[in-house]
Amino acid sequence: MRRIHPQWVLFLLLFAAPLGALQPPAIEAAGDWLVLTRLPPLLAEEEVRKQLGTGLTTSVIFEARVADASGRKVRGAARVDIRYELWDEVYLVTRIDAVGKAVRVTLPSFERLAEWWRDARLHLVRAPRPAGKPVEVRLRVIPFSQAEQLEAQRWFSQALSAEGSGGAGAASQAVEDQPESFSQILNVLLATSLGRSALLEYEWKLTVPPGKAR
Amino acid sequence: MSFRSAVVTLLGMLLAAGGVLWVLERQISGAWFRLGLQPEITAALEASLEDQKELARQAPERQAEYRARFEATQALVNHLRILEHNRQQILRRWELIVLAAVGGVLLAAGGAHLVRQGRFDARIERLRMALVALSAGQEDLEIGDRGRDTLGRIAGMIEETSRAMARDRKRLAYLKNLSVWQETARRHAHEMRTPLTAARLELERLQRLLHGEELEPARQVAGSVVEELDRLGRFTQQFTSFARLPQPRMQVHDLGQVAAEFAATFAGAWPNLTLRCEPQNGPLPAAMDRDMLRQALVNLCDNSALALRAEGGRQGTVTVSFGETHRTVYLDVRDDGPGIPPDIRSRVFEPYVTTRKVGEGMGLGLAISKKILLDHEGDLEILDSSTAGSAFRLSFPRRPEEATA
Repeated sequence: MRRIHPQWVLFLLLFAAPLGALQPPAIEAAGDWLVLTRLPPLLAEEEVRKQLGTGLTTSVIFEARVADASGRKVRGAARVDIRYELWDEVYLVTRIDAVGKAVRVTLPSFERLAEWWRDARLHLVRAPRPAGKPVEVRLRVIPFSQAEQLEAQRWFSQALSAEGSGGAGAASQAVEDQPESFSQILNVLLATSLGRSALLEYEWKLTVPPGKAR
Repeated sequence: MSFRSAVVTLLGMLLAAGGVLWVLERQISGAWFRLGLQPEITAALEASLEDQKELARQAPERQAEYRARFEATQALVNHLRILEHNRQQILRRWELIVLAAVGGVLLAAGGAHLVRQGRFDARIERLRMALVALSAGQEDLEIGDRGRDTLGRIAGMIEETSRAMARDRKRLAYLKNLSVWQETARRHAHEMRTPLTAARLELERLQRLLHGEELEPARQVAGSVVEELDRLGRFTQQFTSFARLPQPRMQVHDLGQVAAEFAATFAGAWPNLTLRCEPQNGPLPAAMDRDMLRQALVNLCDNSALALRAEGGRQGTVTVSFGETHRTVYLDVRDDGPGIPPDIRSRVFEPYVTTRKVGEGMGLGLAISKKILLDHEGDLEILDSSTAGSAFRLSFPRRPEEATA
């Protein structure tokens, strides 16, 4: 029997998904926790792949909401930050789930990243006895981190201020002739307008398999 | 334009201006953004990233230097990407700011326009009401609009018109009343003159028939009757003079010069009166019948002299001064006599109104003087009167070429 090359399997896994809706993840109970497994093939999405290649930190945020046995809504979230280090050509991945522990790994290739993604298990919400009700899971892909956003804001602010000719270079020169009040308006405009709107958003209602639910 | 339609028009203008501005602004700021975020720029920067890496591979000893440049360039690319990601949001905010600023300016301008329009409408309404009142015959209107613009000037004209109409009405009423008195005087004079003349002739014939010493007393009685008839004749002559006041023959004279000549000519006419003429600042030309003006001045001085004589014959002074307004030139005649009693002050220009005893005057002087001034399109008014004296103003219309406004 001819051996199937793992790259082809990965390729099929990555590129088959975009043909339809994004395949939802699975959820299972582990102790008092609901754990997200078989994460959706997000890395196969063209936008995500392109975004990862920019070197900006792409954050994948999972948020969950479920009613516990008393009917009270319980919320939880997990986050995976992925940044491609362009100089070293490695993926720096930080995983923070609802347990509160941050796990950092460095992955040398996209394939290794895809494997890591596929095998990842994210503790999403602490919800004993979820009462068999569906878990609402929301996925958001944020294109850059808050630190990068602040750094960009600082750079723009410097560029737009008449005095800040140092780091901003030609950009500050372009607005040097503007009245200071105008620069301030632009500054405020950028400070308030630069946001981290989601690149992609998905929502699912997942059911905890009955056999594994406590 | 009503307030509602003004608001609708204003909102329409605001929407139209906002729409045009929005389209233009969108084109302009969008174009600037496209220019700043040209994909070629990002591509060139990304290529330079690869170049830095390649340079580091070829010159490992300068790796730190190339890496620092690499990271600086990468930060720049990241900033541009973040800007690109927020392009729509920034554009929307920017458009909002521009629209809000322009809208604010337009609203402020529109609000100011509406306020101005409201005030304008209110002023127009006041003018309309004033015109209604004017057409209804109301006199001495006070609109209270002192604006220097067209409406203010119109308001001033309406007020002036109402004052002129009031003056004309009073003048007409006075003249009408006076003409009745003149007609009465004319008839009385006519009815009295014929029997007076006949009686006088008969008495003179009777005097001629009375000869001898024994008839001397009868002759003296007839002489006394003739004197009384003469006095009656003089009264009749006054009636005639009043009834047949001539129309003035107008010529332009300097008011000051006429008054000065009068003061010089009549300096000794009233033994208990000193005439004084104040110096004038400049020529005051007025169209007048000089003789008739002189007659009016004589009447005023007569009154002053008689009033002073009634006070025990004390000496008095009549002072003539001059002045002008934007429509009239005038001379004021002021004496230091006992003044006009308050109870007849309002009727003093009516014929036969007098404070003198019966037989000392008929009370026609002021009426004749007033008639003279009215026939000059001017007026004779009492300025003030008290126990310290009386003052009369004789005003003449300013000649058109001399009018200041």
